[in-house]
Amino acid sequence: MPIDFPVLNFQAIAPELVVVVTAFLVMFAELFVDDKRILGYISILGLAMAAILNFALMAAFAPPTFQTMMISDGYSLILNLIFIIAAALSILISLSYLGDRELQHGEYYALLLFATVGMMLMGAATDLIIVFMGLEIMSIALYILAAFNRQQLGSGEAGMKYFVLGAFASAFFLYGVALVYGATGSTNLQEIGNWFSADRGNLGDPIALIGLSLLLVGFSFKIAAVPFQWWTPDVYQGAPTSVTAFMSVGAKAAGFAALMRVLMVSFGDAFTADWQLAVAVLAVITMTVGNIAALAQKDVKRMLAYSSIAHAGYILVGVVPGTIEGVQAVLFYLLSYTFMNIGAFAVIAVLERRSQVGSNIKDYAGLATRSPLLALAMMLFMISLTGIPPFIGFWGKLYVFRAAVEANMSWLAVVGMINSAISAFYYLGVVVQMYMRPVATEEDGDVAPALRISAPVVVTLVVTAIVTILFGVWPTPLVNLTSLAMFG
Amino acid sequence: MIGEVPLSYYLLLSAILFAIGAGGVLIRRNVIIVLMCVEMMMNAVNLTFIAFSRYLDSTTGQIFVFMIMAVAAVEVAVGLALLVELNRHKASVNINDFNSLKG
Amino acid sequence: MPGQIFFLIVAAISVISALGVIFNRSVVHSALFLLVNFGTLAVFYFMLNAQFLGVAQILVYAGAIVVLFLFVEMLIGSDLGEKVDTWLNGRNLLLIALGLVLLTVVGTAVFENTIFGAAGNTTVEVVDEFGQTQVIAASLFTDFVLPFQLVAVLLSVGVVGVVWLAQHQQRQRFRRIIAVLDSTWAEETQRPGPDLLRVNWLRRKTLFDFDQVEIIQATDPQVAELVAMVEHDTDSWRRSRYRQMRCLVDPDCKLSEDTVQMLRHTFGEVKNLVNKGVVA
Repeated sequence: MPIDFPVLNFQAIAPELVVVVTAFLVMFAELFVDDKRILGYISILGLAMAAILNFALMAAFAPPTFQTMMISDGYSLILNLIFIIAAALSILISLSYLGDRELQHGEYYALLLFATVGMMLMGAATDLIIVFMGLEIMSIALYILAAFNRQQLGSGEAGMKYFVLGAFASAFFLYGVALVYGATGSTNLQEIGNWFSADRGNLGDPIALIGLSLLLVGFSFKIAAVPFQWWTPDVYQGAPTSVTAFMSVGAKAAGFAALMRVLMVSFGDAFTADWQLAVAVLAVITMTVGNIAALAQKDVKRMLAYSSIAHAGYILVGVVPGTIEGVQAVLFYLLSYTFMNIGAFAVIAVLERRSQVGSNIKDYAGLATRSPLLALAMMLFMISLTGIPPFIGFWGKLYVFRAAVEANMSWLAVVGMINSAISAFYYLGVVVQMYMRPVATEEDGDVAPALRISAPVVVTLVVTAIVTILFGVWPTPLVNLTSLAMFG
Repeated sequence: MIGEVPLSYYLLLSAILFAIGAGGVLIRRNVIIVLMCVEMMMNAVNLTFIAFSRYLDSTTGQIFVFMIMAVAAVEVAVGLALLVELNRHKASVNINDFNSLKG
Repeated sequence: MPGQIFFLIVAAISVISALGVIFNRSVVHSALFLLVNFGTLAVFYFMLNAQFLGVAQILVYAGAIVVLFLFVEMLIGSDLGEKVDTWLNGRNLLLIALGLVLLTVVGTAVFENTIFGAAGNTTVEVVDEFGQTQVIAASLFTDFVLPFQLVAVLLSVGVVGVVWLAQHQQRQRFRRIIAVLDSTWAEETQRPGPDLLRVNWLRRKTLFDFDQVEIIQATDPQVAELVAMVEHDTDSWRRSRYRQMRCLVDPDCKLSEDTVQMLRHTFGEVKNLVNKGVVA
C-alpha cells in the first residue's frame, strides 16, 4: 500500500510541545534535585516559555496541522493562555502547600503539566479523536492529582470518586462520538458540520441527535453541570487545595472549550435550535441548584465547589445563543474566573489546617484582626465572585448576560441575575465571618494555628488581586484580547 | 458473512451491552465490579465503532478503537492503583464505605 | 442465514456474560464472565473484517485487563459478597427503568438501518489486496500520527501516576519516633506500642529522624542545646519537617519564657503536655 508521509507543521503546536517537554524535564530533574521546589520553578519557566510562544502565534496564526487534527486559531490561543495562567498560579500555591504536607515531589509538577497539555489539546482540537485524547490525558492526570495526598483518606476518596464518575462520563462521551461518526462518516469537526445538509435529508438524523446528546452528557460531567455534578463537592473538598484550585478553573475551561467548538463548528447553524433549549435548561438548573446548595455549606472548599457549579451555569448562558459574541463573552468569563477563583483558593490554602480535610468556615472568624491584608484579599475575591462592580467578576457576568439578551433570551439573563443575588448570601457570609466574628481563643478550646504565608503565595495573591481590581476598573484590554477569539 | 448480518444488529447489540454496563455502574457498589462495568461500556462503544467502520468502508473507526484500548488500559491501571492506595486506609471495596467527605 | 444464526448465538452469549458480570456475588466469577464477554466481542471484530483489532482485543483486554482485575482482587482480597437485596431496591429499579427507556430510544434510532455517513475508501477489496494490518498502519502513521503520539503522553501519565499511588511510602505509616527530654528517665529507649518509639535524647545527644519532641524534665541549657542542634541540622529532609513538628512541654518543667519562645520559633507547634504517661 503506497504511503505518502504528510508534512507536519510543528509550529502550530509549539506551546503544547514546550509544556510536554517541560513535564519530562521535571521528571528527569527529580532524580538529581534535592530541593524539589526547584522543580516547581522549572515548571513555571516552561509555562512562561509556552506563553511567549503562544503570544507569538497570536501575532501570526499557523495553519491547521496534523491533517486538520489541530489548529491554532484565536479561540485556542486564548484558551491556552487561560490554562497556562491557571497552571502557573496553582504551582505557586503548591510550592508551600506541598512542603507543609511532605508532598513536595516532582511527580506532582509533572502530572500538573501533563494535565495542562490535555487541556490545551482540548482547546485546539479540531477532531473528536484529539478531543478524546486531550480529555483523557487531562482527566487521568487530575484523578491522580486529586488523590495525591497519600496520608489522607479524604484525598484518596476524592481521587476514587472523580475517577469512577469521570470514567463513566468518558464512556458516554465515546458512545456519542461513535454515533456521530456513524451518522457522518468522519470524526473531523468541520467535516461533520459540512456533512449535514438539507439536500442529503440528514438534518434530523436520530443517530446524530442521540450522539449529540451523549456528547453533551459527557461534557456536562467535566464542566460540573447539574444533574452531572455529584462528584464536585466531594472531589473539591478532598483533593489538595492547590489541585482543587487548578481543576476548578482549568478542567472547567477545557470542558467548555471542547463543548463550544463541537456545538458551533459541528452542530452549528442547522442544529442550533436542537441543542439551544437543552443547554438553556442545563444553565438554569445548574446555577440554581449550585447556588442553593452552596448556602448550606459549612466548609469553605465545599462552598466554593457548589459556587463553581453555579458559575458553570452562568457560563452556559453565554453558550446558549451560539454566536461568536457569546463565545467571546464565555472566554472573558473564564479568564476572569481563573484569577478570582485561584485567588480565593490561595487564601484557603493558607488557612487550611495540615491535619484536616477541607477548610472549616470557623477558621475564618476574625481573620481581619489576625491578618488584615489576607482578609482584604479574600473579601475582594468574594465580592468579585458575586459579580458586584467594580471588580472583574462583574464584567464577566455582564458580557455573558448581554450575549443572551442580544440573542432574544432575556429570560435567561434575568434568571442569572436573580441567582447572582442569591450567591451574595454565601459569599458575603465569609466576609461576615472574617470581619464581624471574634477570633477563637483558648476558651473555645480550639485555636487556629499561626498564619504562615510564603513568598510564592504572596505573589499569587498580589497578581490575582491586582488583575481583579485593575481589569475591573478598566476591562477594555481583556475585552480586546478575547475578541480575537474566532474559530479558524 | 457481512451481507447476512445487517448493521442494525450490531448497533442494537452494542446499545444493549452499553446499557447493561451503565446499569452495573449504577447498581453495584463494589469498586472492582464498577470498573469492570465501565470496561464493558467502552467495549460496547468499540463494537459500534468497528461496525460503522466496516459498513462505511472507513478506517477512522478502527483507529479510534485502537486509541480507546490504550486509554482503557491506562484507566484500569490507574483505577486499580487508586483502589490499592485507598485500601491502605480502609479495608473495603464498597463505594458506600468511602464517605468521609461530608458537607 | 447461517451467518445471522451464528451472530445471534454469539450475541446471546455476549449479553448473558455481560449480565453475569453484574448479577454475581463473587468478584472472581465476574472477572471470568468479563473474559467471556471480551472474547465474544473479538469474534464480532473478526466477523466485521477487523482482524487486527480482534487480536488486539484478546491481547489487551483478555490478556492484560482481566488479569489485572484478578491480580488486584487477590492482592486486596476483599471478595465482599453483596447481598442481592442490598442492590435490588426501589432506587435501583427506577434506574433500571430509566436505562430501559434510554435503551429503547437508542435502539429505535439505530434500528432504522439508514446510514447517512460518508463512505470511505477502505473497501473489502483494498483490505484483501494489502491486508488488515497494513491498512491500519498506513492510516495510523499518516492521518492519525498525532493521536498515536499522544498515546505515548497518556501512557507516561499513567506510569507516573500508578507508581506514585502504589509505591510504598518511604517510612512505615504508623511509625512515630519521639525525642524525649527527661532527666529523671535512665533508659535509652522505650517502646510503648508497636508503632511508637520513645528515645531519650538527653542520653543520646544527637539528631535522628524524630517526629515529635517531648520535654518532660529538662533545664533551659539542655533545651537550648537541642534547639541549637536542630537549627544547624544539615539534613534537608529533616530540616523541612521541623517547622511542622509538634513539641509538647510539661507545664511542671518550668522552662523560662525565652526558652519557650525559642521552641516556638523552631518547631511548628508548642503545646502543653496533658495526659502525662498516657501514650498518644
